[in-house]
Amino acid sequence: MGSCQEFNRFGRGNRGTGLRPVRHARHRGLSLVDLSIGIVMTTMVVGALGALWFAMAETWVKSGSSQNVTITGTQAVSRLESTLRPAKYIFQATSGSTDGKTTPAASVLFWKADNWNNASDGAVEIAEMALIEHDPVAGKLYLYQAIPKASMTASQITRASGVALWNDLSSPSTLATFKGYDFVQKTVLSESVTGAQFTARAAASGGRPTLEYTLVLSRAGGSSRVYSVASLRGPTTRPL
Amino acid sequence: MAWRTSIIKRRLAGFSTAEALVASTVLAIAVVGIAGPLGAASEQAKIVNERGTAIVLARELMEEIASKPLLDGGTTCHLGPETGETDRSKYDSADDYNTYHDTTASLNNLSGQSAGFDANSLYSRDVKVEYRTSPAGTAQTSGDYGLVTVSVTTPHKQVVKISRLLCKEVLGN
Repeated sequence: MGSCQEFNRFGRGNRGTGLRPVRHARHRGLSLVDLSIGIVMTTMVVGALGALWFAMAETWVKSGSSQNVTITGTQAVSRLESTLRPAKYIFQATSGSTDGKTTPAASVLFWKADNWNNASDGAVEIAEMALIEHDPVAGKLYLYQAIPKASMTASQITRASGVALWNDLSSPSTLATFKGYDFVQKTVLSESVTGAQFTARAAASGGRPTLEYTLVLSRAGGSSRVYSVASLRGPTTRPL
Repeated sequence: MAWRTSIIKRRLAGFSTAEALVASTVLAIAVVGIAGPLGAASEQAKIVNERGTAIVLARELMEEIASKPLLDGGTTCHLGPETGETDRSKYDSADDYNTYHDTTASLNNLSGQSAGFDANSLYSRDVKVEYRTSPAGTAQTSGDYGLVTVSVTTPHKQVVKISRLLCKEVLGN
């Protein structure tokens, strides 16, 4: 009898009755088959959920990057337009390239306004010039322009009042000279610009001069291309 | 003895395979229910993105048109390009752009080089120019004003339209 009880404790026997003793049922765990099915089903569910959430996360990240790039591109267009619209004349433009590998990089030197000393004298003072230049290494478009007169020293005012003539304005070396002035400030016009191509176009008869530009903007996970045109709304004739 | 054993067995039994399958199905339905709106939100973000690109493309063309005088030679009313104006780089007045159409797949800059847009997302642009005799008037066969409308269709067939009223001024230098 004692040996029979021991036998039943390990789940064998009693097949003739169709029932197992209560003591045996209380101790019964999952069988290997039950466990295997459970593991397989759990793995499938977790795997499917994981794949779904991973795909969702990827989509959201890409969507976010794409939106960021588009917004940055729209801002760049708005800033370029608002900077160039009041300009009087484009002195020179360097083409650059959309892959950002061409040297020199894209730039445009222009006469932003004829208003130094609150006088429209028809002459291009250095303080009236501005330069937009692409820096492919930093991935930024920079705007160089003179600081406000009220912030200048007497020496800076004297130098900023110097009149530039066409020979200087059309010379490529003027870019470095202009950027080197201690009263010229560099500000960021747009970020994430990995490529920039500028083309200045003279006005057609009865029209306005334009700057045609293509920008390539890149952020982690997305890139965008912006092609647009900015026209000078109040252009003037070429300065002397 | 038999009924007591049956109750204890039921109390101690785990989930059956059928029960686990039903639970998995319910879970799957719940997940799909959550994922559906998330997917729709992602799609909506893409549409908003496309509208942003469409606005930039529309502004480009409008700025290009507005940089030119409304009429040929400042006086001649003629909608559409004249002889020899085979592409937009040769257009010399705003009214030349009437019925102009292009797509980003074949969009060139004014130098004739490809603007390099992604061929998989196709935007198309259309221009309509109407003469007006007064800013608030209706379309006429000639006039001192021109209402320019640029329409851009996105890959999701959303249409972005911008309009500008030009007048017969001789611009620039």
